Amino acid sequence: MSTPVLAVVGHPNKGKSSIVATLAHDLSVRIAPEPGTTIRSRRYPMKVDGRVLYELVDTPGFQRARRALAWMREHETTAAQHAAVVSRFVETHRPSGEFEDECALLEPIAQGAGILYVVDGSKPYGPEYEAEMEILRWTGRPRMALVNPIGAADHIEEWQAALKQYFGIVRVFNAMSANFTKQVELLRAFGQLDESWTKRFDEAVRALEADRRERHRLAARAIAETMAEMIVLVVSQSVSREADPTRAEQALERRYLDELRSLENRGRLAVERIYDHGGMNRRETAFELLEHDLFAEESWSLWGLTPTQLALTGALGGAAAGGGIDLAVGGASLMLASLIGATVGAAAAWFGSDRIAEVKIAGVLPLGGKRFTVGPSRNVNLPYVILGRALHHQRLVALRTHAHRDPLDVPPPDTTRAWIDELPSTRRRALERCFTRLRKEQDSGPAVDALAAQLEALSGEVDAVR
Amino acid sequence: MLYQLLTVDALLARDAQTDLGELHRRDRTIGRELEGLAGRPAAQVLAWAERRGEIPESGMENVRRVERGIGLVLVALGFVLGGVAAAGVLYYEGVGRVNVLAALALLIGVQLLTLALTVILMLPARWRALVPGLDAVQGVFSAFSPGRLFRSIGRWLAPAAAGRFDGVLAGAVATERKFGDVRKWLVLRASQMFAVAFNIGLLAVYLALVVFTDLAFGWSTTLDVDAARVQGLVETLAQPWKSWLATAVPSAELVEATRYYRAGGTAAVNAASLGRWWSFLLMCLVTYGLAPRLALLAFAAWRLDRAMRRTLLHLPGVAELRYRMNREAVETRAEDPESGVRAPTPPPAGEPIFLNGACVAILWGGLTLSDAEAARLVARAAGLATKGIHRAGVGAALEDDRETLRAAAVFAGPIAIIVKAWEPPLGELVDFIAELRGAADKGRAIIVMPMAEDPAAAPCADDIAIWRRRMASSGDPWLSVRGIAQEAAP
Repeated sequence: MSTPVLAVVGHPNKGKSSIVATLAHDLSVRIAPEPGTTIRSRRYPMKVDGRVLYELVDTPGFQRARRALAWMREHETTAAQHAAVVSRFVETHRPSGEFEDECALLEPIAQGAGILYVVDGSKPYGPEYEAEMEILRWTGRPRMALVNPIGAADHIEEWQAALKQYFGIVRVFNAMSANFTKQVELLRAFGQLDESWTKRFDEAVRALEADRRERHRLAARAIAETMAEMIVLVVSQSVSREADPTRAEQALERRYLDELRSLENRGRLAVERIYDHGGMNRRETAFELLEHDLFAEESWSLWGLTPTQLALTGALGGAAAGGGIDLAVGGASLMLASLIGATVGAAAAWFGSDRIAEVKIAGVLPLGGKRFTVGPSRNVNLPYVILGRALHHQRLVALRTHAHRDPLDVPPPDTTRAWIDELPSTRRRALERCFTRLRKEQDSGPAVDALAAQLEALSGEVDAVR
Repeated sequence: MLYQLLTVDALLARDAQTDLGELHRRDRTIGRELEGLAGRPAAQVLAWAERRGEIPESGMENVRRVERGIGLVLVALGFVLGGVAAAGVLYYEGVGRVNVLAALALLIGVQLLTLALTVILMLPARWRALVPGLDAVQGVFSAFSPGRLFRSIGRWLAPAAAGRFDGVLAGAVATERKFGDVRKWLVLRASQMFAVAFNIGLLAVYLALVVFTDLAFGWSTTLDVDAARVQGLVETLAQPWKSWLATAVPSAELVEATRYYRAGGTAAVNAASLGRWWSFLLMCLVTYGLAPRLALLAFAAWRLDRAMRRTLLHLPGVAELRYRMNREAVETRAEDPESGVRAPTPPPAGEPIFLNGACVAILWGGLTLSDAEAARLVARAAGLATKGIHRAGVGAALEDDRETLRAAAVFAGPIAIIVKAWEPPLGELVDFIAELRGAADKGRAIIVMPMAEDPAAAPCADDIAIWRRRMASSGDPWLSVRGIAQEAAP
């Protein structure tokens, strides 16, 4: 069985390269507003363990379709000879360089490729497209038309009516916003173009889906590892007897917050690399973890727990600690320790919610002076803020198609408090247990595994959005 | 194992600079060869490092040497100290006796105490937290543990390896929590190596003294303890071996006979029987000194190996590596670099062409405008009157294009070409303009006028810019682009 090949063709500047970049997950595709940027065909083989399942070919746009069609009509004998005439057109003009773009785009089709014809659904239909569509019909190859709305205007219906005259299948596919589910739906539709292709495209879709699930799993682990480092972070500084301790404390607090920011950034880079968006240009709302008036801070009110949720979460942690004592004394305490633990935990979470960094004196130096340390942060809210931001970033990156060339903006979410409120209470309790383990256990490894397992379900939710 | 851990970390750090597709291909090939190890992740990762067969950083090779060197220092120190302790406790210069009770207390009692503390050290932190004060005891004890030598292993490593050691075991940031178990078991295993060596040294010197000197054992205490109680103690201590090594259990008579008082002298006793204690003491040293330490050493080594393996699986990049090795390599990207692209055309330069009088207009690309509408558009774009209107491009036959060319060429004034601003300039129009220029005078102005979808509106500035750049690429100084201005309000 020969490998299915699909040539992506159309008018210049109608999003052919964007479609290819999205389907091939390739950031190296040059996408520019300048028409006619692509002057040579470029091949994108989809391989599983080195075996090519299908191939996409990005081609230059039609530049002289009317004249090319006129040449073909001049050399036409019967309708049965149309495909042969197209091949002859390529053979005749290839050496001379005349009709360079038409030859480059028709060559793979003449060699047996199927056709993916791309138009911009935000621009009106015009008769100038008819010559190229007629040439494509002459090739007799399996073909599909894709309406790719690049701008805001809507001419999709007009296009669909025209395209149905020339193409058996017409679909709307936005290369900039098509999520993974839509991408694999399109690949499955490619398999319907030719009976002999169905198996190959189905196999490709299965491999891509498995690969996607694995990437979500890796992203969850990357987030869990970043969170662990942020939660257990400790910075310390020796301060001599002569130095001003207040200034030293402030400097150390600043360093602590900078380290947190830097760790968050490192985690984001790891997630971007996992989704093949390494080296992307990122613009983001600064991660301002301000020390005071946390609840006045927009990011904390967006990502963190509400005061009530905070108190409940603190109570949960306190009760767990108290429960340990109850267990140790075989229940002789009549669960009093759990009750006290819950009350103290709730109060600590409520009143301690505006402290992120707390400077402690770790020891007195032999020659005078002190050693200050900051961290690990005991702020109950901090892990939720970190996690909310990390999942939001992961979602943006996972949903971002590879046709984007503009910087990734990481704004706060549109729906205030959506993430934490939508989290089932069982999941939140499980997360809180992981955070508590990270704060308490000497070795973060097992707690990271537990947290990664919790986050896997959350990171995979992006593809459920249709 | 430490060497392998650091090597994997260094290899992965180097891979961070390599293209992901290339990495996946390479690691998938290795992964398929190691398919049998897929269920044992740590072993698979170690085998992967071995397959790579690279020493990723200079200085890495001395990790093994340093690890072995510190181990040797600890063993030698333990052996010497054990020997010194034995010689000290069993010091005998021919007068008096070697007090068995003192020897048991110093050689076995102290060891059992440190053994208990070691077991406490080995307990998980959350268990220790249940007993108040245990952490403090443990802190004091661990401060004096000879195994701490291993904590400062970084000092003896080459700078690159030392940095990696700190990075792996302390994390990129200073935290005691990351991989805390590796540090804990590294110290505990080292302290058990020391303890085992101590016991071997102890036994070696003890046996040497037994063989080459005539140790006269006895027992003595100021306390009011009778021989029966000492006999009870001896019987209890000898429980593990008394069933199969009766000669190493002192009899009641021997216990009774070997009691001595410094003030009152000794009871008359056969000198040969004084040495019979030696086998009992030897068994005590083996059973309560060496054997538990060997067991703890084996346990600590097992736990260290487990912690190391877990650390290995938590190193940055290992999860991705396992994914690359064990999952099908799915590639969708182009194999060759992007090369077939047109360089962007520089923006047009030069003075705007001064236009006046009347022009001939050509409607390009199937524009369905009436002559009157076309004339109004030309006036809005360039303030010119229109003397004749022709159609070319899509919607007209190629012969009609040539007719339009001839008609436009004979007209003396400027030539306006109205085009759709929202469509890109195609090669077909560029060819047409080139033919037009060939037919008309060189200095004749040709003005391309992109119009908006709504004829009353002005075209989008980005579209105009695209048209300008494309026309500028022809190098014709008399060819220009003028957007059609928005229709003035009535």
